[in-house]
Amino acid sequence: MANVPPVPALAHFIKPTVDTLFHIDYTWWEKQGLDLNVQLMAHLPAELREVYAGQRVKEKIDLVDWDTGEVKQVEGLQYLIATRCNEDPDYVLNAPTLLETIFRVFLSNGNRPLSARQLAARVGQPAERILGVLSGRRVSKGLRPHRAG
Amino acid sequence: MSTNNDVNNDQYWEQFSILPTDLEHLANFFLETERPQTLAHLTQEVIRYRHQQMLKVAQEALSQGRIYRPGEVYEVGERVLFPHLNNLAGEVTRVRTGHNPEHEPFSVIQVQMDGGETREFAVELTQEHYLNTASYVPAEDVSVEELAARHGKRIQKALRVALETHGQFLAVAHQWFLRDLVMEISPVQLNIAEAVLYMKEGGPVRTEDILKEMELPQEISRPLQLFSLESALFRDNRFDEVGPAGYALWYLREQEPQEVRETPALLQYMPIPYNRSQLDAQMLDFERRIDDEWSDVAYDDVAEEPVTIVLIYPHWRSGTLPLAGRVSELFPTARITDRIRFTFEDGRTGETFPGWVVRSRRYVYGLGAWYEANDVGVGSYIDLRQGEDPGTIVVDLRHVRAQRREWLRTVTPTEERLLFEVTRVPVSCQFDELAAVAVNQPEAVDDLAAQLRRASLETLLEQAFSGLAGLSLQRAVHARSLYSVLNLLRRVPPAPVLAVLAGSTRYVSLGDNYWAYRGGE
Repeated sequence: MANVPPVPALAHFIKPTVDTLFHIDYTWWEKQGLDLNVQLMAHLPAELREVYAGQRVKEKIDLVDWDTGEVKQVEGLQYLIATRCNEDPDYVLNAPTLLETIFRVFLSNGNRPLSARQLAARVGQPAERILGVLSGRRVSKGLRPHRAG
Repeated sequence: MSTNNDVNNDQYWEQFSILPTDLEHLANFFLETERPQTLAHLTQEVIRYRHQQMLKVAQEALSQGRIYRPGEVYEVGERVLFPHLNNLAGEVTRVRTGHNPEHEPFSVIQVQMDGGETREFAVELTQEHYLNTASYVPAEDVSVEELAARHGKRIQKALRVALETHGQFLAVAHQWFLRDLVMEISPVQLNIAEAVLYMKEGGPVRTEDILKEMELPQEISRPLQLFSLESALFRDNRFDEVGPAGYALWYLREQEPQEVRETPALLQYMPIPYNRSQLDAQMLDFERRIDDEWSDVAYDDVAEEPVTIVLIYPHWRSGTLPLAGRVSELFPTARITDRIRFTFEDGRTGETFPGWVVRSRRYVYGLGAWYEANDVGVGSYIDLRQGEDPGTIVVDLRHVRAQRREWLRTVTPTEERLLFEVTRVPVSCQFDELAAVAVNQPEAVDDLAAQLRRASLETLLEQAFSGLAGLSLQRAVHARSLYSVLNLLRRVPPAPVLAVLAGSTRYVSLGDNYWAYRGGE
């Protein structure tokens, strides 16, 4: 079998496997004309909604990945979920569907890319099933393969 | 660029694989030392070489830029290294004020990476951060021995595979050397080796003692002389290497006991197909407790000494022991040789006599005379433990104070079957009551077994079952008794016997490994 050349530009055309890294592609939300904050608010736990009440929705915050020092600018809601929900397993597991569960994993881990195999351990579902959800013909919630830069 | 920050952590060594440059280094190492080396020594050499290489490369690489430390101040135009991110590197293109209530005050640097992408990193952080003090150069004070102790086992395994697949290297009796540098041993010199072994009644003789009788060029180092001689002896079919792991011992093949060269007839096992899924947990546990060399059982736990064997008929007749599970850990098993010569020591008298491990056929030979001298019978307990001298195994019985007569199930062969009865038999040592069988006329039993060689296992089992059931008031038969008696007629491990019992409508389990005829026939 021929090896697929590691050309980043071709990544979109390569069929994902259980080891392909996925993340939330926030540009997808912009391109779709959807308000990410509406979605984020829906995924905010009730106790944090009170904390968040009255805050400036569009304020950008530098989310620091403490393991690497890398900074990603996120909106206030994203920041709140990433910092307050990342150690609460119930936050992820209480999501109503598998798609929402996966979405919450990325919201709460600061959108660090993960493969279906890695997600399986977090959500307690087979990697193949997770891959099936992530690699459908339509992109859902901006969940897409991560293109390593 | 490639800094090797990984050197410091275990991950680097855990993902270690042998590279062509490692083998090149070993070839040079052999040329310099002119000395064959053990795999363990070569593993250390590879670790030492890699450790030095990593130190050098890491120091060179880290000198080409400033390492990213989240607590420090950076300016536009500075070149920054990120050893913790797989050695990324880039140039600072912007510095801005960071905004995050948890970390303020701090700054964010924008870095144009060598690959073209732009990424941002926190700097001037006032909180403690592990990257502020992380060291990316391997600690020079970590000893090669320390690294070998931690990772040597896995690296040694990989190195063995690499050396074995690379034709440049040659292994003889646990030592390795360069194939091209091995000296030629002439046919005359090999005849001298044969003569040395003849003088010692076939062996075993150490390579050093054979070498003493030869005149090899003085300019060749002694370790290389030994290695070359061993290599030549290995290739000559007259000689057999029978040494326990660690050093070579030579024996003349034609002078080895016949029972070592050829498997004794009663130990020969023709695999019997059976459905393993028919065995329940209790049966599998029973199989595990019977040390049968042909059982398909993995033993992970380390056996406590002494290891006790309950002797079955084929081994009793052949003067052997099974090289099974727990027992096999006890005996010396060289990696390369199939037959290993070692020493038995009588646990009571201290007397020693030769023993042989025959690895591929799974038995240990050399106890025939000892069984006879000690009145050992089928079902006797044989205790085994390591002797004080390496390569010595202490073998012992559980002696009774004075010989006494015990009621034992006894078999006598007739023309077509075995006759079962209970008789009083003189015994000298303790035995397993379920496995013990007194055998009258063993030669006639063997003749009967030969006559029944075409009979199915089911037929033989039925014959043994009915004989044993007749000796019990409850007409119940224990699986251990059945296994022991069946092995008078055919070499068979416990699992196929249990599968016949479990799969037949004739027998019913009474629990605790006892069986009876269904409906109380």
